[in-house]
Amino acid sequence: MPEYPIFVKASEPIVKNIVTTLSQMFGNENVERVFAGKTIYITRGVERNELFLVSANMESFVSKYIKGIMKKEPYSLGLFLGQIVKGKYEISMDIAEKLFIEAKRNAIMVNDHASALFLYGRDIMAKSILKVYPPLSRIVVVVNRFEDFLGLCKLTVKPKELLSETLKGDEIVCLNVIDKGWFLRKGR
Amino acid sequence: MTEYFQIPFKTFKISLDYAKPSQKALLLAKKYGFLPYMVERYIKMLNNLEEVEALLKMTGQGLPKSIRCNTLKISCDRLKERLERKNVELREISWFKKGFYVLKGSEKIGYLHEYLFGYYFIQGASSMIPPLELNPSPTDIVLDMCAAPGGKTTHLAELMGNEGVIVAIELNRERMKTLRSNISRMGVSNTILIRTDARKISVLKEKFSKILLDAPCTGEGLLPIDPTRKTKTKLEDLYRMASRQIELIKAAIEALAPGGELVYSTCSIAPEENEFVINEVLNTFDNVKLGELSVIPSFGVKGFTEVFGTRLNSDISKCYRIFPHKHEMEGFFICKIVKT
Repeated sequence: MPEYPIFVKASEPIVKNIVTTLSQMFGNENVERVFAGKTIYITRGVERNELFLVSANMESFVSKYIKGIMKKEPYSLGLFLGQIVKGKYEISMDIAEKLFIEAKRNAIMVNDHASALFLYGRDIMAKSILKVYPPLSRIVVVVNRFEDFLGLCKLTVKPKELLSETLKGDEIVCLNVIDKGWFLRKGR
Repeated sequence: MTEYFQIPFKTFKISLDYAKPSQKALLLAKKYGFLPYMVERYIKMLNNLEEVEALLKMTGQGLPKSIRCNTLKISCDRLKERLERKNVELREISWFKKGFYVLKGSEKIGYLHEYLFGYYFIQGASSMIPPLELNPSPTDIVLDMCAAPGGKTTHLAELMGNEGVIVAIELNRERMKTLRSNISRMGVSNTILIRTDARKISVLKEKFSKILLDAPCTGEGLLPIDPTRKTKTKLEDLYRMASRQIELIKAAIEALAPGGELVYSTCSIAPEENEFVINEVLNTFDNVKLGELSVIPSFGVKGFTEVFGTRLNSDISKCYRIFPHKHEMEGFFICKIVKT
């Protein structure tokens, strides 16, 4: 396996998979707006297949000059969309944040205490949820009361159950997938 | 002084005798714990003993921390309000309304949620100047040659409204990881990161409309925040660094499009890494000239046109310096080169 990934245009099935997943989460019109005029690139030749959203200008520069003249591959480019792990698309915080700002859907707002804990990698309890931004998917955005993007979590209950009184307050309803505390824990 | 290393300046003569320490330099070096040759250079450079002592005294005393607000994600008024609510006291930097000194609460500024959300970047005030001087537009193809950890790259992206293209180069693997992390944290999406030796960019002839070369340097301007710099750099190390800087700036000029602009900066106050490098460039290329700077002239000090007994190109007065003892910022040098 080569040390460096090779960046190639993502195949049609992969593009379709990503666009469909994101559209289900944030709405087709919002995904179309953010993706307009851009191309999805994927890394090949390494264990993890990372995905990037690339503008036409960047695409042309990479192809003509970085690959063409320098004979190099980028380390990263454009907007990180996530990765494909065992054939499954895992969304990044970068694109989820951008799409939440556009769509204001598929999210839960949590109280201050839960916000702080979530940024330390903790899960969300039913009693911490202040607001739901429907419709929800399995993976939802977590925001604080200022609508700052905190990360992503995976619902353990059905969306409609979220605000129902049948859930116990301390019950974990959403498992931390990734949070912005990553930038302190690993990103430095 | 024995010349046992190569002088990288091929187009003008310098005698290394200028660094031979006088009795006064030896005394001050002993008093403040500096290498004597450094103090001798400060005496000759500043030509004022009081100033020299002020500079030496500042070593290790620290500087006020500063942050740059990221308007890709939040308005500066909103950020200020939020930080003040967390007992962080800010003062706007007089020459840059998106930059703030942290007067109170600086110990926690790297851990606040607003930091994680990418609402600001912690960086020295001097480091905010080079992107402002380069002033890229959303249509530019910009090269950032030594990009990690990304303070200036993300600033360039903000100035470009996340449009256009920034090619950001970094050689070191660990520093590249930090760069990528900061790009992501700050919400930047117009960069192409390339892990390579920046000198290799010369193969991309005339492809960039704007280039930022914040060159690797001895960090002699960081004395107030890093006292190890007092004894870290020997004269031969300084010249080795200058040699690398010349290679980098030559590669940058090759990659710069006609009419394009290159901002060269270092966090060093050493003329050998600054005015001497620019002088070498002006003597080597007949298709470059120095451009006017727009932000730093209101408070900076003009570049030396004669130093250590060497007369340099008079245009170098268009370059500017920041001195820690005068400006309460990291020492810095900035110059703009325009390709004709």
